[in-house]
Amino acid sequence: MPRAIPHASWKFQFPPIRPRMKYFTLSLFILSIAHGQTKLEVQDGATPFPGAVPRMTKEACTSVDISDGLGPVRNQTAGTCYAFTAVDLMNYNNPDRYSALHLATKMQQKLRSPGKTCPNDPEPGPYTTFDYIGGFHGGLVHQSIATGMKEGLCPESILPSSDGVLKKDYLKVLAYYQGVIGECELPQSSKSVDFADIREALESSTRFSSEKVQEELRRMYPVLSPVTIETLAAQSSSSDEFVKKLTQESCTGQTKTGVPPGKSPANIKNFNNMVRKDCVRTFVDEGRYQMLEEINRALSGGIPTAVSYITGGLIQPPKERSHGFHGGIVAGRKWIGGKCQYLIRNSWGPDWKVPAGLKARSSAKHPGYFVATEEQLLEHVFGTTSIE
Amino acid sequence: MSLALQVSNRLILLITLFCLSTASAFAKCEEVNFVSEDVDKTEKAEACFMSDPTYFISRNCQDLSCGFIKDLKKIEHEVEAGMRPGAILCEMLGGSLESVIYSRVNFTVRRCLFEKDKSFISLNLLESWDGEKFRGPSTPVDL
Repeated sequence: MPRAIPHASWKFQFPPIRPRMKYFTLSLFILSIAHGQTKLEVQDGATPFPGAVPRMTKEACTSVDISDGLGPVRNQTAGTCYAFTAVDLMNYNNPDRYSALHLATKMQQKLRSPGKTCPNDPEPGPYTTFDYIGGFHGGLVHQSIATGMKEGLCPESILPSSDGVLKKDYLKVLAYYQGVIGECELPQSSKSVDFADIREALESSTRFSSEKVQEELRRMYPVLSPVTIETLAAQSSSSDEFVKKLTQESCTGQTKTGVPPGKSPANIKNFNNMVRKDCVRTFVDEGRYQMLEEINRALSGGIPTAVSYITGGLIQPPKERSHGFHGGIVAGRKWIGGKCQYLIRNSWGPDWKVPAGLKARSSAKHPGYFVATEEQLLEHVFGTTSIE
Repeated sequence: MSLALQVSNRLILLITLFCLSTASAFAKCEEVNFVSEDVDKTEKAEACFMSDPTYFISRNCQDLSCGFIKDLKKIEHEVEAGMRPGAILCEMLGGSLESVIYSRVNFTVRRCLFEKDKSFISLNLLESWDGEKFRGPSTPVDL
């Protein structure tokens, strides 16, 4: 069970979390907007924003389920929930299924740490694409949607988005055997994966000729031939450049506008409820009720809403000094057990379920989704985005 | 009720409670064909399942004595942003991820493999580790 948290607020100084996570945290707070009057300081992961009072009535909590328009749950694996969430909103009831991988690659090239303003902030500098594939960098959903709409996106069929870890491992090993990176850059997990077929293919006179290698490459980059991939590897001076070239080559001439039918960037509606001041992050109490109103209004109109939320205590065990920022889509609502409960789409694969002992519970009908009560949303969600 | 009967009833209750407390969390162990979706491989292995078929562990680990469980008891990992926690744990434990399908489910399930002793665990089960035991799945909500 989540441990009890004293209700009295206490200042939350930035913990010594992983540098990659700090980029997300920093960018989030810099771009946050405050509303309302009362400010609560963020508590730890179990109940980050305590004191929520549910307001929904049984009459208001009509049954809604719009999950069909979102398609099957995918598996992000790497820290790209914002891109999956953004693309889910863009793909909703849209025959053009955009690639979350393409959007994440675009965003990653734009994200930079603005520099140190607090003791534990990261040094200024850009991300790399490989960092993104295996990394934990976050991004902002509304900015991602705007970028996708402005620059266009490649379809999912051209650039499949799932299997992040395997993709990262595979490409890194490929880059290693091409001499693009050194052994120390290989991910830990790749060392226990059987990549003998890659070695065999790359060490033979006809590179990429192994059937297994070709099969894997077809899965990752279905429109590129092994010869093209080999050429791109030879032309790359870094693993980062290699991935950029693979993405660029795949999507050349395949990019669509990225604007869902009848929508424009003006339709993006964003609400954020957390701010950072003097290196302390705070949550605006009244803003959470406004966010829930936004979620309910959208659901009643058959529109999904992206939510940014803190996972600790909700779908992951709480940790004393780290929170776990994540994104998902609210895709339904129903009055169950005297409470308004919400259906939330995750992006950790259809096999994922909420473990026992946490606040949220798995959905009995929708693989890869979870269910949270109104109170739990009020206590964990800090941002919403929708395309109205 | 006679004193003898009362004592007898209490004894039965105590024995039942003792049996329940020491019973394995895994309802059934059986040989399963795991078909990898990552590489061209089908592996026959003994796995122990909880009532939910996506919560399983290799038979050599069902008593929680195998190598990675010992490591699992020691590590303290942070809650990361966005990434699936089981994938992070698997990497921290030195395992490798694999997507498999098998007879008990009709969709892809991810497991963490340990080459050293051929042990494995599903990510769902791994994610339910509370520091001492596997909690298993939450009770699903009808939504």
